[in-house]
Amino acid sequence: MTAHLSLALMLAVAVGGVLAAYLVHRRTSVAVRPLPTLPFLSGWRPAEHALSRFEARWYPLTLLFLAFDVEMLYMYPWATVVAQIGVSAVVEMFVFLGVLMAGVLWAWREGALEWV
Amino acid sequence: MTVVQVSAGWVPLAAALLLTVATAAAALDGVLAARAGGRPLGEGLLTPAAETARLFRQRRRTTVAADLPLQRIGGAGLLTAALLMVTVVPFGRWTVADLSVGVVWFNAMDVLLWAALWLAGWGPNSVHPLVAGHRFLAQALSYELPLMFALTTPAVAAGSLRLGDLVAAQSGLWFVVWMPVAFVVFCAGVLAFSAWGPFSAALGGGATGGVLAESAGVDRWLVTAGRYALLTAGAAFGATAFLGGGHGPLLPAWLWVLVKTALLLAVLVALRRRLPVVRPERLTVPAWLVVLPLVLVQLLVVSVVVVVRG
Amino acid sequence: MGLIGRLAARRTAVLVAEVPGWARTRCAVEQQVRSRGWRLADSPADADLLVVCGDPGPRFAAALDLVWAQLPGPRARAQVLDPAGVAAALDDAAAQLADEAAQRHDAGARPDEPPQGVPATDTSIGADAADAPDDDAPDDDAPDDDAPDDDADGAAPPAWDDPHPGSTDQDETDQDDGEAPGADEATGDSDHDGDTDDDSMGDGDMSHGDMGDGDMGGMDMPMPGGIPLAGGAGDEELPDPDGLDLDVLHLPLGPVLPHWPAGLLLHTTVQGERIVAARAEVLEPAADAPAGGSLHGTPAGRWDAVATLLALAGWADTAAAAARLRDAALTDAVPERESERLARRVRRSRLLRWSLRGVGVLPEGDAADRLAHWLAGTAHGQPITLQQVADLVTGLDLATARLVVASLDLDTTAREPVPVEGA
Repeated sequence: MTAHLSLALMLAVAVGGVLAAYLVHRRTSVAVRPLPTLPFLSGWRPAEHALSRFEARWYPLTLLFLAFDVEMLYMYPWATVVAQIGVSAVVEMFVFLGVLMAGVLWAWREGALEWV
Repeated sequence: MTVVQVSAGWVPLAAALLLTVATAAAALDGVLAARAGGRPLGEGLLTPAAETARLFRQRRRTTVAADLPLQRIGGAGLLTAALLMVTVVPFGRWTVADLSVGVVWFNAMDVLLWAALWLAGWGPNSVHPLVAGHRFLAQALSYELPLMFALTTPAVAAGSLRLGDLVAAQSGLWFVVWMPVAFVVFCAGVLAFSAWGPFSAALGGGATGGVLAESAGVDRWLVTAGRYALLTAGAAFGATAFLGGGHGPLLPAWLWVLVKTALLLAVLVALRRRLPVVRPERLTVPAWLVVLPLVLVQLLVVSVVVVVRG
Repeated sequence: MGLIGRLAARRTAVLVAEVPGWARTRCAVEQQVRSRGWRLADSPADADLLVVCGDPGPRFAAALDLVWAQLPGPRARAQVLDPAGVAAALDDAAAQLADEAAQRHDAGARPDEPPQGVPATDTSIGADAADAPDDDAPDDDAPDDDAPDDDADGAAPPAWDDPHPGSTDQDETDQDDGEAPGADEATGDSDHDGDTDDDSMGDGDMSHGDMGDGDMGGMDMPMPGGIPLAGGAGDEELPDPDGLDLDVLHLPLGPVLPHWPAGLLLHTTVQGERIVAARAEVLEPAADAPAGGSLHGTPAGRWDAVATLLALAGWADTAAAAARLRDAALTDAVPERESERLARRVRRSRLLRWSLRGVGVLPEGDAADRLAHWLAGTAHGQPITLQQVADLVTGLDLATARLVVASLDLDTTAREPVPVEGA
């Protein structure tokens, strides 16, 4: 319980610290109000807003990543019981990881790892 | 050595300690930069103070139609994540948060940085930060999995996700000795989530300032300070999970933690001087086809040793 | 000046803009910046000081004015023509930065609406003698406020749409083939007046829900801050390999960009971080400016190219070492031992070789080969046109494109074709 209290307190310290930094900055900077400005485009006016439907060409990679990321859900509890369960725990987990790695090789062959 | 939970009242002190060590890291970086530029080293020592003064004197900027709340959350996210990471790391015999899932907590905090850096890039409504924020995500897709498996390795060896148990399990042999691959991958992961050195493609890495291209004043300071804090938190975790934590002769346990953290941190900071930036698109193939299998083999070796040992 | 100001002055960040022909002045500025313990800025947000090397033409000057308006402040601006005048100009700028009262006054006097600048495609600025850059008073924002919005927008067709712009200094860029990849991009919204609909500025609320067809209606689009929303490529006939109708952005690179060839303006159309179309031109110095010198073909020029490429490759230490060798080469001979040591260090880096391998491939070799030749001092010129530069970067992501441009070491003081060093 104390652990969770400490974490909550640390979060409060972090947020408080950030707010304090902003307050100090108000006193030390040459102007309180932020400077309104156009985005930096080498000195030119933007032709359009930058926020847009961005083409993330590494999108297939995110799916591959998700497969492994979900696997991590099992990985952490597994890590605590390897010693107790023994050989079967190791075999089962690494067969699973082997299957996932085969998926990586397939994705690589399909070109999902090269995205520019 | 048993690690004991101390009162939550020590939390502010832990935060102050992290920031102090992070400042020392920034000073070291300044000294190394001064040496490379042929300048007196003492001048480099003042770099963190001078840069802080410069940014606190500088006015903040807001770009037209910026997504300010998201930009602020992203900017403050680095420092916040670093502070939350270091909360679970034992300082010698004491810890402020003896979390039974400390390793998972560290992992969760480093994943928050995906959001933080991407939001910091998205917020300003400007092409250079926007592209850089997406580049960080692309880089994260490469470093995160190896980092996760590297984090699992000491947990398997200790049979626990509690950092105190990890330290106790290293009373004989430090984990770095029999899981060197996991240690190296972990250190690379720390560099990567701090967007530092070879993995700084999202924060400039030489071009246009990346995610920071539109930030000035305290906004910029928070990200800059947050990076050093992240490196420090990562080094503290690495010293605990791989380098034996408080174990060592003669010196008190807390001092050993500090010494090991400082040494690892110095190496991480100095690596920036030795290596050029790796572009995220070049990182993908080696990360998935070389580093990931390597760290899985490392995990397998450690698992087998654990099972054989009983 | 208080403690904060004194401390801050130790880390003054300098944004340097180089007009074609003033490379020696830029080198002198960089050398002074290093010897003062200052540093070079990555962007205007990062900068305290804007230093213009040379006498820019009207379009370059307009870009400088907008960048000047984007420095957060405290800020100072200097223009230097002669390398001998650099130290004095920087001293003067440092004094301006240190003047707390003047800086606070400057901050207070800046307009609430950001200065709008001009579009990169606006070639009409040269015609009506635009404001010369004003290098003394930090509180002078006049050039920003009267940027020629009214006569530029709508009246003249954007140069992007026109494969053969009438302006004389453009002709050489389009000499061989008007149908450059970027030449026929229809910027369908370029006829908006930049100053309408200002009331919605700052709300950051931009819905993309119904923009799928890329055929924008024009005036009924929301325009937060007077800027249109991004649209799809639509009928621009851009390559869209994945068949997705995603937004494209128009991103001008240069002239005010660190580690970038002097005066080069690369109009790019980017989809995500990938350049799908590009067109290059060079912004000339002022008409009455004395003919500038070039560093190209000299040892100093080679080390300058090495420093630029290494800086973009994200290796600050070796970039700084190369810049020191360049400065030594400008005054007397390059120290043999140091240059050998740096060349060895760079050659030994497998990470750098791997990073540059296959980047910017020309018949003679790639970026890694060109770097090796610079280091060995065996480089010789090969002509490359601006059109070829644009073709080389098309299809690359932005970071790689910048490496490619740096690896070409373009000499923008020369008329076409621009020589590129290679084996």
